[in-house]
Formats: sequence, structure tokens, C-alpha cells
Amino acid sequence: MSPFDHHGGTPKKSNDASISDGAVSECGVVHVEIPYSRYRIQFGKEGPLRYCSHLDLMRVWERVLRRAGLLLAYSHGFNPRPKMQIAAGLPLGYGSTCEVVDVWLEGDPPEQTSMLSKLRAAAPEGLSIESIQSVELRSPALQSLAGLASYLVVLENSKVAPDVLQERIRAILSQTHIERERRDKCYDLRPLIHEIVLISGEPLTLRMDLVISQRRGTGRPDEVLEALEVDALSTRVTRVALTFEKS
Amino acid sequence: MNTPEQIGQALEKILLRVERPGRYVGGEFNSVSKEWNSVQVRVALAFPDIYEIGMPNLGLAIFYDLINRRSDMLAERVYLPWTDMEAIMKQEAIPLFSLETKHPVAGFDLLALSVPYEQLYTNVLQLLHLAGLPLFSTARDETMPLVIAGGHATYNPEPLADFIDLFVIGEGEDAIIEIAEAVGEMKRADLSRTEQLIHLARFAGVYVPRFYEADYREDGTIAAVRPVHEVAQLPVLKRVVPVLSAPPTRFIVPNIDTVHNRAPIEIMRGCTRGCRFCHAGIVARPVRERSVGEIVDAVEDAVAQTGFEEVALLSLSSSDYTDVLSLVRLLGERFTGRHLSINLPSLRIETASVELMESLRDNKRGGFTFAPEAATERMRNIINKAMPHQQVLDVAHAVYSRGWRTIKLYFMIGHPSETLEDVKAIVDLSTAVLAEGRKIHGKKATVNIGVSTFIPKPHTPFQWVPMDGMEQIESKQTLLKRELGGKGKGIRLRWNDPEETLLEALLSRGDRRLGPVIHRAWQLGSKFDAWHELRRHEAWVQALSEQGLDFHHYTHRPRHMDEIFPWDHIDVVVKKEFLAEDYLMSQRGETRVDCRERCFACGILPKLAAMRSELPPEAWKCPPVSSRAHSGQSDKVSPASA
Repeated sequence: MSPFDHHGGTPKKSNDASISDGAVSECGVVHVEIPYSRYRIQFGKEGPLRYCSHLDLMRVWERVLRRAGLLLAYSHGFNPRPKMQIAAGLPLGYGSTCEVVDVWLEGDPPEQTSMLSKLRAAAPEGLSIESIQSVELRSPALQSLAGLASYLVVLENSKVAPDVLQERIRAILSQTHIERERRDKCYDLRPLIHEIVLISGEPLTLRMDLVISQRRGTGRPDEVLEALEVDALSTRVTRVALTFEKS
Repeated sequence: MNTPEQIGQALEKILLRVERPGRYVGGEFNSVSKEWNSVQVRVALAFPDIYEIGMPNLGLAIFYDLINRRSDMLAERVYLPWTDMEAIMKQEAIPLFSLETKHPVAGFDLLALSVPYEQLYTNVLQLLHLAGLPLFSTARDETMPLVIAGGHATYNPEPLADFIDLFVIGEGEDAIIEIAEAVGEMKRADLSRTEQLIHLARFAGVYVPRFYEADYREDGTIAAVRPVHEVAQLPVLKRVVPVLSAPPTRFIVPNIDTVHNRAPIEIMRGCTRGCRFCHAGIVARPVRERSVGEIVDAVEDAVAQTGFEEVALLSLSSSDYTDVLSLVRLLGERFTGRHLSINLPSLRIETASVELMESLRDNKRGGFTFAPEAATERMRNIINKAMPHQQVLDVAHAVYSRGWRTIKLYFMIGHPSETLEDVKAIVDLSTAVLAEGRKIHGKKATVNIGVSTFIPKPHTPFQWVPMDGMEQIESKQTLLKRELGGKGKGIRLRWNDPEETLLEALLSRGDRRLGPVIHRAWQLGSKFDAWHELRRHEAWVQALSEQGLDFHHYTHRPRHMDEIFPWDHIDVVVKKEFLAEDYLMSQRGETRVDCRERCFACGILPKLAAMRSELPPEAWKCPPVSSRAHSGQSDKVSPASA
């Protein structure tokens, strides 16, 4: 399969700095100063879009914005990238009710009340757009603000009894270190786990609150499930809350 | 397991276990899910490979649009599962299903397959098998979908004749609707499958294989393909759309990446260049163009409806589009600064092409692609793609000096009368092109070379040519790999596996005796023959030998000019005598100019005279014909040295 020849990416720091200053491209052409505006969109990712990867989702957004008639800004240079930041990548197969994306638009700011309805009309099945708000151009990158993510995990056809699972959860939370290996690297899972709660016995459902932070690392639900001796492929995971640290 | 609800629930349980599950879920923007019981006729549009390969197919996108516009019909998409998904589907007893509503394929009225190339033949069987349908056409009845096929490979329908109920030869836009309407009527009239086929066999461009039989000579060549039923047409004249209708613009927007992830707008159909190896250049005649206004509006509409960041303006030879300059100027005016890339592929090797691209692109990623096809002037005259050597280098210079860093060059080895010297010239030309790039970009300049192997395709002037022997192909490839293969030289070489080329040649030139061979190769595990990692050459060797056949007869054997080919009963509106004459000219190194300039009497105008007479003269790019033009005299030939 052909690799991506073009995908979304987060703007580099240097681009942020040059956002309204006019930038000099590689060919030496001075770009005319273009006004930018930045918006924060809260959205859900469900249904068929569960199976859309993080990289593919960037492109889905690029196209939603174009269909909505909003002019997304791009970086300058040989390989222009859309100026867009998703707060925290969601693993393939997970749903979410609480995603956040920042988008930079080019030109005069659009009329904000109609933006929401335009975006909703342009969204594919499974992309639910909850809200949109204007953000200061120079406020910090979304990824740097993320702190904690909550996941709802439904265990389908699980043979594990609720009390057995409850005991395993207690055991894990009582430990101070959980050594695990991922992609040939050893790390400690325990400090990435904030809380695990068994919230229902039928169907067996957990909530786990995990650290998701550029500074402290990212706790992955499948790693926690493995530590709980649960087959991650037989679960249904939905991210239900993202908590941001104070900017 | 056969309700959409059951299939949907089963999918939820298995999708996390397969690679790229987004292939199997549907729900893309602009996909159409109609209420199943609200329509009379349900059509499954199938591409016999995985989602990523099948989604960009423009033919099926056109049919999807046409059928779903009808309130009495629905069309849904079907692709093959990759091997991991196939194994789980079998284990869980999930039949092949449509992406939109997850209905089993067996529940549709019509199963329409697009077969653009021959390496898909085993996948056609695979698709029928996973749908739970009998593979052989005669084993299926009116309780099952009518299985029809079309696409460029089916201009020689014979190898698939056992498996397909009917072929649509030629352009399908009008035919698919006529057939779907007829299927609805016949369903209400409760006709048997045989009665249905008798009715449909009279339709223009329809070929029902069971109403014909092939006779063979002792040497294995065809004696005749005979009708065995009164309704069977002979020859079967391909369908031609007199004037291209408005192009579709509401393309389905995939949520995962596909091989061509963009909005395709066909600007022109057909080609007048007359390259002698080129199948499309013959079968897609006559040349019909869309107007500049229609194209610009379609691009605007497609971008608004889909949000695609890339638009491809498709044709066989973009430079030949009459108003290409004003098209590009208008597109540039309208779309510059909107972060779109508008591609104009298939450009001729001339500096004008560089200017065209320059005004279309916001960026210069992706490089610039040209197809000289051969590296010596002698060879290019033989294939009728004449061009001076210096012109290639001048164009390369122009491309690099305007900021592009990569040039892709497509060549073919194995042309008639080609020597190792001609192959060595590919090395020299590629190196010279790179040298032009180095002058401007230093080490950042690159050249990508794609070298395919010539196959003597049906319906072309080269259909009489024996294919290069395997040893010849290998020694030519060895030379190229030795001279161009090293890393860090700024040149990247790609070539085709000779065994895949051999298989493509066999299947594209096949007769009906290949039906059991394809069936047996599939039984032995052949599928996804276009995928290097899954193709199983030994299965094909075994399947052929069990039928008492071999590759040589189909691929490498010298042929008499009066041989009857397995596809001769399929009339692509270009006369066999014209092809023969052109082949003989190639042997004398004689070329023909673009037939927009002068008619060489290929046969279109007399065969389609009635259609042409209804149209304004400029609808087709055939020039006005004098009575002498039909004589085919040598004074119509331009000297090779021109």
C-alpha cells in the first residue's frame, strides 16, 4: 500500500511564531501578511469513524472544513501542512465523546454563529460537532495542555467475574510500580494510572482515568487491560472526558 | 447469517482483529444508503480487489451516481476483504456484504463487476465465492443476482466467459441503466435466467458468452467463434457514448487513505496519438472532449461537495485537449491560493507542459511525470511515439529550473525489434536527465524510472507481436539494475516482475480454454494476482499443464497476419486491416501523425456513421474526411525523420 504522501501534522513552533508576521518561503518570496484566526472545536468520534486512524482523521477534518467553506491555513514552504492540532491522538477502534481540535483559518474571521451549522452539515457519519469557540492566536498548543483522559471500557462476553476483576483492580492500584514493556522499551505504567473503577457488572464496565501529558507520558487503556488480564480486542473503549491543565 | 443486522453485529465483534478495519465499515461522506424496500432494482457495484484499490475507480463512481439518482433503483459498493478479514468472515460465516447497508451480495438483483485489468480474474471468482454464489454462470439461476462485467480487460471477454452472465462491451453509462431497468421488468414478469439472457442479448454492446461457441484448429488457434443462438450478435459492436454527459462530482470521500485519494474529473475520452502498443488508445476511440466551462464548473462543484484537496483532470493525453491553455488559465485564476492541487497527468514531453503545470499547482511536491516509453529515436518511431532526443533533455531542464526536484520517467522494455543497445539507452537517457537536475538542485535532484515490460495487447497494432522471451526480459532487467540500481545515485529504478507480466500477457490474450485454467489456479490458492506477495506462479503453471496448455502458445508464439484471434468477434470499431497496416508500417520504421490532423481511416467513421450524423461535426475530434483518406495509401504517412 502506498504510504501517505500527504497528511496533516501539527504546526512546528517556528510556524506559530511566524503566524501573522509574514513568512519568507524557500524560494525567497515574501508572503503577504494574511490575517489568521484560531478556533477550538469539541467533537465526538463514533460509528464508522471509530476505525479512522489519527492521521486519517486529520485529513477528514481538512475536508470537513473545506466543505464547510472555511479556509484552513497551511504552513509555508516546499511541503505545506494544514495548521491544525488535535489535543490527543485516539487509538484506532476507540470511540470518543470529548475530542478537541484547534484549527487556524485564513482571511477575515468567519461569522461564528453560522460556523457550527456549516460544520455539522459538512461532517461525515460519526463525527458529531459539539461546540466551537474562538481562541487567542498565541495561546499554548493543545497537546501541551492535556492532562488526564477518562475511558469507559465495556467488556463484551467476558468470562471474568465482576468480583475477580474488582480484586485485580485493587491489586493494581495498591502497587507502586508496574513494569511493562512496549515497543521494546521498559516503562512504569503505575504513575500513569489515576483511577480505575468498576462501574457496572452487566455488561461488565470499567472507567479508567489515565495520564495523557506531554510531560508525564500517556497511559494506554490497552496496556491497563493487559495488566488486568483482559483481552483488549474483546472490549469496546470510549474516551469520555479529557481534562486540561491550566494554561 | 444473512440479515444486515446480523452482519452489522458480527462486524462490531471482529473489526478490531483485522488490519485497517476502516475498509469494511462504509459511512463515508456522500455514500448513499437507501431504504432497501423503497426501490425496484438493487445493484451491487463490485471491484474485485480491496477497498483502497477499488474506491478510486471512476467507472463505478459514475454508475453509483447514475443509479442512485433514480428513485426506483439503488446502488451499493462491494470490495474484496483482505486475507485476514476473509479468514474471519469464513470462520464466523459472514457472507460478502455491501458497505452501505450490509446486505449480502447474493440478495441484490444485479452484481456489476468492474474489471479494468487481467490480474483481477481470480479475484472475480473469489468475489463470487465469498458471496456464496456458484462460480459458473450456467449454475446460477434467476433467484441469484445477474452477474455482469465490463471494463478495459473485458474487450477480450473470453477468459472470463464461463463465469459471467453477460459482458457490456465498451462504455457502460447508458447500458447499465438499460440493463437495470430490464432486470426490474423481468423480475416482475418472473422470467427464468435463460429467458432473461435471451432478452438482454439483443441489447447493443451486450455479449452473452453462453450463446456462442469457439472452434479451434489443430495448432490451437481459433477457427471461429460462432453464435449458437439466434439472438447472439456477431460481431458485438462496443457501446459508445456519443457525447460525454456531465461528470459526477458528489464523489464518496473515504475516511481512510486510498491509492488515489482525490476527485477525478474526466476532461476527454479517447486518444488520437496512435501509440502502437497502447490498448486504451484504440479501444477508447473516438475522442470526445468536455468544454472548458463544464470542466471548471465540475472542479468547483467537486471541491465544494467533497472537500478533496486534490483534483485530477483525467484523460489519456492531456496535452491534446483542444483548449488546454484556456482550461489551465481559468483553473489557475479560480483556484490559486485555495490550497488545492489540481493535477493534469499524461502530459506530452514538451516545454509547454511545464508551463501548464506551473500555473496549476500551489506547490511542487510530487514531481513531474513523463512517459517516453523508449529511449532511442529508432525505437520511438517503431512504437509511433516519435520525439527528438534533445527535446527530452530540454524539457527536463525546464522542469528542474522551475523548481521541481523529481522527474519520473516511464519506459517499456520488450518492444518489437528492441536490442540491448536500446535498453542501454534508457540508462544513458536517465543519467542525462539527472545531470540536468544536478545542474540546478545538486544532490537534491532525483529521477525515478519505472520500467514495465511490453505485452502485445488485443486490438492493438502490436497484437501480432510475440512477447519477449523470459530470458531476454531478465537480461534486459539485469542490465538496468546493474547500471541504475545502486543507492545514492539519485536514480530510483522500479521494474515489473517478469512472471507477473507473463501472467498478464496470458490472461489478456486468452481464449475460452483459459476458463478452467483460471478456475483451477484459484482452487490452488491464486488470488490477488496483482499483489506481489500473494501471486502464486507455480499454481498457474500447474493449472495450465493440467489443461494441456502452456504460456508459449498465448504469449511468445510468432503469429500469421491472417490468424483469427480469440477477441476478433468483439468489434472495438477499429478495423483489423487498419491495425495490420499500422503494424507493417512499424516494421519499416514509418510513423503516423496525430489523427486529429489527418484521418487514417481506422474504421470509426463508417461503423458509427449513423451516430456521427446526429452530432455536430466538432463533437468528435476526427477531422473532416476526403474520399482519398479512406484509401490508406502510403502518402498519408509522415516520414519517420520528420
